[in-house]
Parts: sequence; structure tokens; C-alpha cells
Amino acid sequence: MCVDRHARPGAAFSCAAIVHVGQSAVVLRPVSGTHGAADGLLVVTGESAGLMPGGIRMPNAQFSALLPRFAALRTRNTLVDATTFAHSAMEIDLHIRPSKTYRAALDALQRGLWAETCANGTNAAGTHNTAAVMNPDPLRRQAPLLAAAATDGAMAQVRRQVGSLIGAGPGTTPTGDDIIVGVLAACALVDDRRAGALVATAVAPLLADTTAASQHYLRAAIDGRFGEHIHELVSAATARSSPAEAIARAKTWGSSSGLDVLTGLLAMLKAAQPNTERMDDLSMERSA
Amino acid sequence: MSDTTTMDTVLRARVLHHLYRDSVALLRIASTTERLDGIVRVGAVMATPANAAILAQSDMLPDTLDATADDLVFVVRGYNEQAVEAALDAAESALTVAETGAGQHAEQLPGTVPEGIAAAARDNGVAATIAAVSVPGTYASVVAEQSLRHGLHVLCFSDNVPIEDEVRLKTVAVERQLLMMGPDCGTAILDGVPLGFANVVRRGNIGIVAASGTGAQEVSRLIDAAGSGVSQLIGVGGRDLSADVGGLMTDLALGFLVEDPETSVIVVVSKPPAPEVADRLIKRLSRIAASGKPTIACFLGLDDSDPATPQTQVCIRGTLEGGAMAAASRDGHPFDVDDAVTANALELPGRILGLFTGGTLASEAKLIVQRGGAVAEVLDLGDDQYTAGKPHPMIDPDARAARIAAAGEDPSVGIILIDVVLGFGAAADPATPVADAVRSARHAAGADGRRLAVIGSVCGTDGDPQSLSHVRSILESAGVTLCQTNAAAARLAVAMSQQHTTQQHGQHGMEAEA
Repeated sequence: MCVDRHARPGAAFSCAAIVHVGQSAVVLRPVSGTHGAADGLLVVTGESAGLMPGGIRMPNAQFSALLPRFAALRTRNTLVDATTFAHSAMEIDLHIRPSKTYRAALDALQRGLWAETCANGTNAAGTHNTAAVMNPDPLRRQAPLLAAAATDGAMAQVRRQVGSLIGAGPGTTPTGDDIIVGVLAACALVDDRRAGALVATAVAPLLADTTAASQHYLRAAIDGRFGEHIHELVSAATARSSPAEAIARAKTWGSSSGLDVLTGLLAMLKAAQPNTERMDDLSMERSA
Repeated sequence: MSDTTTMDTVLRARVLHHLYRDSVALLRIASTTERLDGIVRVGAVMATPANAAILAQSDMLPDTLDATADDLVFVVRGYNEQAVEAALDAAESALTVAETGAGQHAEQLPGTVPEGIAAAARDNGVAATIAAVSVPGTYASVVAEQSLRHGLHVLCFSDNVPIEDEVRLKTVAVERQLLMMGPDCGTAILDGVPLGFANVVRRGNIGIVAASGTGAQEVSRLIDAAGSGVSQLIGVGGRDLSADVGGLMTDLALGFLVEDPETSVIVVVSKPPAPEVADRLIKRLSRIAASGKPTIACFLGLDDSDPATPQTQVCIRGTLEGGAMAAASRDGHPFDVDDAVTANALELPGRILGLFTGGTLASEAKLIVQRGGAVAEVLDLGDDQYTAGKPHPMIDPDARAARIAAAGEDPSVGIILIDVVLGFGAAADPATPVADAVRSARHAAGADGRRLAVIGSVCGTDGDPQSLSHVRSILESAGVTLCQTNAAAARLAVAMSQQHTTQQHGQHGMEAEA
């Protein structure tokens, strides 16, 4: 059992309401009082999904046993005591530390991302009729624009891009938000504090425009904390693990969330590298 | 509920307040719903302002929508109201089923330390005693600590673990009298069982504590060649003898070896430790020697020092070769290194280019050519700067082979100095790519009217999966001059080099890449 070192569940979670029960996470909110995390959400996950900011990660078997229980409780609006989950749990620091990235690793990730987005067509459901709102591709094309604006210090452009990304797209954590989280992860990785502050400044007043879960992850990202699945992408970008394996894992995070985060991460890393060309626009590559 | 009619179709939406669903489930349900008769288009998203705007752009936003960002909105456009309502009912039902069905998982492989312990007991019928950790560095300290707290020794292959975590882990290990080998530990032999990169050496009486992977391999394989054997080889990670870590695990490992009845000689192998750590360690080794077990401090770069009373004081050696010779000698198997070929070496123009796969072997070679004053460039190709996105050259020899071949085109190079490391974990055939590259390099140099010497040593034994004698024959057939030890190869390179500097080379100059 592990917890986020910087947002360990407090006494408030002795009386928590179930907000969300998904395949990979249970989200709880304290009924009253305060919590270490700014927004007060607690994300309970299994080993497969990895520890999330302000969360608890438990062995897969334990999480699997817990899910049906929570699913049943939710229909009766029952409150739960989550403090026991964190008892004797180990603390993990989810901050991304500045580290050197490698061009070869970034290129490999970019090729993998491109292959996945091409292979999946215009949306992950494999159909071309579902509403445009469920198609992440137009939002992904904005990632290099946000990254370039942040790198250039162009606040007005950053606000414009963030404004059109936040809360936009499919998923509990909409695609646009995942892209922003990826951009912030890259800012932390390359220690570009100015760019990170610009994006954070643009995001903060717009948080109410997205889901509670997404607000939670965006706040953590502004604080420099990211889920373990994002650390896996960072590990590949810094040549500490296989890009192919990182891509394979990213594909398992929601229908598009993992690839959306990777899109933002790569866009910002490419933009932040001095004396190298900016990352090509995905749409341009795909139409070539 | 809201509805909007556009041309000949009907648009309806259903808002599910405060309901989250994974996007995989949403897309699957949307796709299924869209295939129903009479349905044109479907959308299922969180009702954020941005998504409402996108829905509006694609004529999928109802005139009124009473929803917030935390609500899930399901919109369906179809040819008649009946079909659309039926589709919305089906979608809502599917969402409910998906939620109550959560938690149905297929049986998985062990994903945690407790699960691994349980699986080991179930599958092997015995309790696990050691955990090998090779997850990315971000997680390694957590997995290692879990393992220690479950009473397991740990071999932590992972690197990029913060040093403060290493100190914490080793403190926990010392409290529990458990080995915390690493982080960044690739070599160990415990009770005759090789872990990570290790050669097949005979069991014997010499215990090795090593803060260096290939250093431990070179020392252990030379001990084996001398006729001695290894009782235990305990890796401690390259930072253990730093000032920050203070030799926490070296101290514990020495304690184990002192108590081990199978160990009668002890060697500590490391690059130069932090001075204060070295002082303390040498004092401890002297105390151990005084208690009856001869000790050797094999610290690269230190001056050799023979105690006045060998049986009561530590012997210091500044090369891996020297450390192995001292240990084997004290175990009753003295051996000499034949430098006859060095004495008769022909001199060649051009600098020495060292292309190494083993980090400590590169350090030892660098030290010797530096002391010899030869013009040389020695590269550790296993260093992070050369392995980004690629396997370590001990695992995949092709990248090093390409550099060897390219060196044949470089008229400034007269001598190529190499290592070839065998054993568990190393490439199945590390020799053939090197031999092919050597032939290519020598051919290129010859075509240019130059002579190119390739000198090296093989860190291996005949018990290794690759077989020392087989590898030697492959390399020698390509014209590689093989020496008995890595140090001897470096000495030969110095002897053959016509290019010498008049002053000692600085570290920076030695490491400059071609």
C-alpha cells in the first residue's frame, strides 16, 4: 500500500462519499472537514493503474476485491471510512525531478505516438460517426501551439490555448486537460519554471470549467506532482526505460488519456530543446 | 432532458448527474449505440463548457442543457424520437451495467512484493530470501523497502535512485541485518548462485565485497583462473563508499564475511572511496586481518602498499589485477601475469583509443595509460551518454563494434584497446561482432598504408555460457592480441605506443570523445 507523500489522507476521510467508481480508480470526497490535498479528493487505485496524486495505491487483488463493494455502496449513497486504507502505507514522492532527456528517446516516443494515432484512425472507438466532441485529434494538434507559446513566454497565446483545451474532449479527464498535464510534466522535467508558471497561471482561473477529477490532477500538476503512469513516460523520455513499453502502457490509460498526456509531454519537450526544430504538427505528419 | 430537431432528425440528450465513466467504456457504449437502427450520431462526454462548445459546432448541443462539468451528458441524433429514446435507454442501461461490473479482473501475475513472496512459496515450496529489483528508479526505493520490511535481502539493479533514499534503505537493511545490494548493483554471487552480470567461478574461500560490477567480475575471474575460488561476492552499489552513504553496506557485508566459516580471505573492490570512508574502512580491514582473516583493499588508483606483517594488516592494491593476485596468493594460489609480450612489443605511431564495455575495466585501463604517459582516449561505452535508448554494450555488442570499425578509418589511431566481458547477462556472442569489426578496421587501415593494433582481454571463464577459450579463438583469429588481464592489455598498449606526452594527462583530456 502506498500513498502520495504530499497529500496523505487525513482524518477527514473517516467519513467520505464515493464520487466515482471506475475500472481503474475509485474517487472519494470527504463529507466534511479539510484534507491535505487542496481539492480534497482521494483517488484509490490498484497497482496496475499506479498511484495518483492525492491517492492511495493498493495491491491489485485488494483493489479488485474493493471495487464491487464500492460499486454496490454507491447506489445506496453510503459513506465510507478511507483512513484505514492509508494505515501503515508507504509514502511516495510524486514530484517529477529535473532530468536530462535524450533526443533518441524522444524520437522513439514520437514515432510510437504517431504510429498509435495513425493506427487508431480518427477516434479510438473505431467509428467515424461519433460526435466530433469524442475525437481527441483536433485537440492534440493544439499541443505544439501551447508548448511554443509557453516556451516563448507569450502569455496571451498561452491563455488562448489553455482556454480552448481545458475541459475539452472525451473522458473523465478530458483530452485537453491531459494535454495540459503533459505539458506541465515536461516543464517540471526540463526545469522550465517560467513556462510552467505561465501555463499554471492560465489554468488556475479556468479550473471550474472542467470535471472535479480533472481539476484534482491539474492542481497536482501545477504543484509538480504527477501520477505514476506519467512518471513511466518521463522514465522513457530520459532513456531509463523502453519507449515501446511506455507507449504500450500509455495505451491502457483510458481510451486516449495516456496518449493525450504523451502528446503534451512530447510537444513541450521538443519546444524546450534549444537549437532543435519544433515537433512537427501531428496533423501535418499524418496528412503527409 | 432536452431535445432539438434539425432538418429530418431528432436530437436528444440525457444528463447523468455526477457520473464518471472511463472513456474506454464511454466510447464503447457510444459506438454500440450508434449502430442501432435509426441512429445517426452519438456523443458521450463530460458536460464542460469546452465540450458544450464542440457539441454546438457539430450540431449536437441541445437548445437547453442543464448540466455542470461533473455531469455526464449522452447526446443522440436519430431519424425519429422513438429510436432516439430507445438508444438513450440502452446507453444508460449499459452505463449501469458497466459500473456494477467493475472489478472483474482476470488472474494476474504477482504485481507486488507480498504477491511475489506468496507466489514463490506456492510455486517453489520454499520461502523467498532475496528480491531482485529492476523497476525504474522512481519506484525502486519503494519496492526495495517493501522487500526489506518483508525480511528479504535485496539486489537492486535499478539506478537513478536518490542518494537520500539509498541511505534510508541501507539504514533499514542494517537494522534488520539484511543485504541491500545497490542501487545500481549488477553483480553478485551468493552461496554459489550468480545474480545479474556474473561469471561462473568455482566456489572457494575468498569473499569479495564490491562497489563495482565489472571490477568484481575481473577480480573473481582472475581468482578462478589462479585456482582459487569465491565464497561470496556481495555487490553494494557504486555509491556505497561515498561520503553520503559512508560504506553502510560494505560494513554489513564485511561483518557477514567475518562470520562466514567458508571465507578465509576478504577483498574489497572499489573505485577510490571518499577519503574519510577509506580511512575508516582500511582501519576496519586491518582489525579483521589482525583477527585472522587476511584482507585486501583493492581501490583503483591507490598506490600499492604491502604491510610489514601481512597476516595482521590490510594489503592495498591500486588495480583489479593486483587485488586478485594478492587475494589468490593469500589463499595459497599465487599467480603471475606474463608480460613477455609487452617486453617485446613493436612500437606503433598513433594514439591509443580505448573502447570499453565495462566501466571499471575502462577506469583501470585509463589509470594505467595515464601513468604510462601515452596519448590515449578511453571511453566507457556503457556510460549513460552512450547508451541513451540503446542496450548496454555488454548486452548488445553492435554499437561498440561499429566504433571499432570506424576507428580503422581514423589515421590518428594506432592502437585500439578493448575488453570483452562474458558471463550471465552478457551477450550470447560478444566476440563475433568485435572480430568482424576488427577485420574491417585493420583492412581500412592497411588500405591507407597504416598498421593498426587491437589489444584486449577477455573477462570470463571456461565455465561461462560463452566459453572463454571459444571467445579467445574468435578474437585471436581476427588478429586481436589478447592479454591475461585487463591491466596487462593496457600496459601492452602503452609499451607499443610511440606517442607519449611529456606531462601527466588530465582527466578531462582522457575522456574526450572522438
